[in-house]
Amino acid sequence: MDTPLNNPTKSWARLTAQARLARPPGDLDVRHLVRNALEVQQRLPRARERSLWEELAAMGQVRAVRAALAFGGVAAALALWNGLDAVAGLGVAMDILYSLLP
Amino acid sequence: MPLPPEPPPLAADDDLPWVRRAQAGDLEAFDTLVARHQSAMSALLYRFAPNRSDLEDLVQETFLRAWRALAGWRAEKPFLHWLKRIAVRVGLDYCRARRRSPFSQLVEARDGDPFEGMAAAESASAPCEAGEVQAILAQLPPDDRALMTLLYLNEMPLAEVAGHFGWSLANAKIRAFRARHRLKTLLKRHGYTLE
Repeated sequence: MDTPLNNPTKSWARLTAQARLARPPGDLDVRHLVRNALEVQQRLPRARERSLWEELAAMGQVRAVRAALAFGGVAAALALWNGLDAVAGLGVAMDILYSLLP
Repeated sequence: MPLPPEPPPLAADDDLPWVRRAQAGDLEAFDTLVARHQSAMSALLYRFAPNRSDLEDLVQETFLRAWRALAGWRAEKPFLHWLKRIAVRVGLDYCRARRRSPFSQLVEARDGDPFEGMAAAESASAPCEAGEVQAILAQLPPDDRALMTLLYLNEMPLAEVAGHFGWSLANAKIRAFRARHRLKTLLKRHGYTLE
């Protein structure tokens, strides 16, 4: 809605010229603030980036990850065992097929 | 420990030895740079944040960013120019942050006079005029607000604004044209004419 709220002859240029006369506080001094912030930053221990192996070793210390790995190992062993049975079954089936060949 | 008294302002090239020392981690040297340029940064950022506490935060943030980026400074351009670029970006981030938070706008409106604690102005009506300008510019999108603040209140040439924001001059002209168009519509609602 472009309905003028005030006197439509007001000048933006004059308003900004007046606004530019306003001055920032002369007593503003941020040296202490900056210095304190920088000193705090420097006192904080820097977090060293860990390597992949360190990450994996750290993960190995977590009980949940250990349990998951153990479960995964058992599951893999069972799958392998069943897989071997299947391979053996395939071998028997192949023998039967070969025996049926003329 | 009390800091040393503020040294007199010197030419931009005179910053070089202090910058080199600060780059080597010398906080005292950086203090000197802060003392030298905080007035210029206050003058620039005051147009974004006339409220004293916000202004202090912005000036502080400018120097903290400068410290963090100091290793990347090259002596191709004066240190003050580089610092102004950081301050302009701090101002832009301020506009964006204010825009993101409608609550902060309500607080700003509730708090009333944002010029509390300002120095005596050359014109007694200047704070009122500045407040009105801020209130109008605050209704623009943040990037437009930052751009119009730099152009109208800081009287920064468009080419310099473009350089600080990393825009091409053509891009800056297009942005300024669009921002002025939006401002014109806004001013019409407030009964002003954009000359």
